[in-house]
Amino acid sequence: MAMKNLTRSIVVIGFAALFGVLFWIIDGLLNFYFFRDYLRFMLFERPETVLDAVLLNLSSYALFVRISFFIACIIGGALTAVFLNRQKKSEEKIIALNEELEERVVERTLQLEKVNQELREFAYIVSHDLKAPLRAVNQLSGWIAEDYGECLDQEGKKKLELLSDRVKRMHAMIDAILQYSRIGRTIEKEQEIDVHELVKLVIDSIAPPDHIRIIIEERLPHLKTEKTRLEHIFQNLLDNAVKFTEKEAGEIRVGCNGRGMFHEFYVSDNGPGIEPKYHARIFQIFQTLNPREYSESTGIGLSLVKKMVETMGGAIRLESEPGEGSTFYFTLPKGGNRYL
Amino acid sequence: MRGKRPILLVEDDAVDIMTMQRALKDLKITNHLDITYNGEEALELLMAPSSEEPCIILLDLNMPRMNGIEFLKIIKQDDRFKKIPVVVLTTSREEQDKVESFNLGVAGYMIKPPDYRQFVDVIKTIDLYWTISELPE
Repeated sequence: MAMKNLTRSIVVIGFAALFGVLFWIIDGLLNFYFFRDYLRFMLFERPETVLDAVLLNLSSYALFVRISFFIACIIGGALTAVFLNRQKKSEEKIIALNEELEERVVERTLQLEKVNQELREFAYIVSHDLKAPLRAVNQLSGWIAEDYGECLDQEGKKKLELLSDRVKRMHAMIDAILQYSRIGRTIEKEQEIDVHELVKLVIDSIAPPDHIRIIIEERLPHLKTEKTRLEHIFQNLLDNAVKFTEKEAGEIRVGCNGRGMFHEFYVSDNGPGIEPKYHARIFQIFQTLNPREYSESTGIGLSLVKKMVETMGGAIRLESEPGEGSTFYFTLPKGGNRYL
Repeated sequence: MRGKRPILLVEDDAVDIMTMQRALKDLKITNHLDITYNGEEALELLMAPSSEEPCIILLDLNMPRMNGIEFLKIIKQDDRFKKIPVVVLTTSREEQDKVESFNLGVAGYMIKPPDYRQFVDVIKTIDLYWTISELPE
């Protein structure tokens, strides 16, 4: 600290001296004409005494002004030094703060990676350790049905069937959890995609029943994005639309509106519609609006879609009223996903 | 399986053992099934002078005391046992486990299917392959 103070004083004095010297040079230049006259006088006109010369000097030039200018220069130099020093100190402070911030980012990133790693291990444990006993339950119940089926009455057989059914559901749910946790972790390369062609292919793969028409309302845009995910999103939304449209003449419409930096796609059906109070719920994992007995679904579909849209930099929303059909809107950035 | 030598199963889960016994019965594979519950027991059985050398070892990876990878490391260094084909039968899809197993010279790596019928198909395939393939005496 003392060392630092010393160097600081030296810097201040140095600056002051520098400005002093600067003053003398400027002063000398200003006085060039005076010196010329003075020398001419000393050499050729010969004053009687030295005092005459000094007096001449004093009277011909306001010494007071020169001295105060000199002092002002020195003070100015010192102040400049102090100012520069201050500035340097605040710069140092900013750099230190930046470094601290960077350190913190690194620290947090490490923490995040650790949590991520734990999550990955967790997913693995879920898949491995939970599935193994489940497989055993499944096999044992299968064998009981096979080996002792004759000893069981109708009621017993029914219960075994239910048991096996529940096991399968649990299996599907574990797979769904794994799938859900995988979305955030795997990164697919973005590529230029003709969304129109993609949607056509998805519709072909769904092969909608005869009473349901799927109409692409306009030429869908090209987009730089992750192909498999986009496919998955359309597949899920269209599947749902087909599944829940029970009308004689179902009509599903697909289209796209520009919204500034985003494309907004929509999948619209004329099915039964969804009450607004359920709109938030249907995007949650394992939430279905029908009792499980009547549907094959685990309730993972829309939560997967939501997570995928969000990791691709977009958002999803639903507009629906009972009896009015449902329209799912989702946005994707035109310029591809900037987060990855 | 080729010949009448026994099949050595290294597996700690009772239901998985039952599954294997059932599958062998369903497929009418008559080789005797030696059952050990972890790597240590399997080694003991292999080393015992009275026991007949197995024609194939079916190995689970995740086991107590000595797991499948540790067991592989030991037998693949032993001239007496390293020629016995080992087929890993596991639930682990981890790339790490596959790489390690193949580095240790396994003859195959099968994921236990959740469904019994599929499991039977896997065992059928293994049986067919190791019936066609020649084995050193």
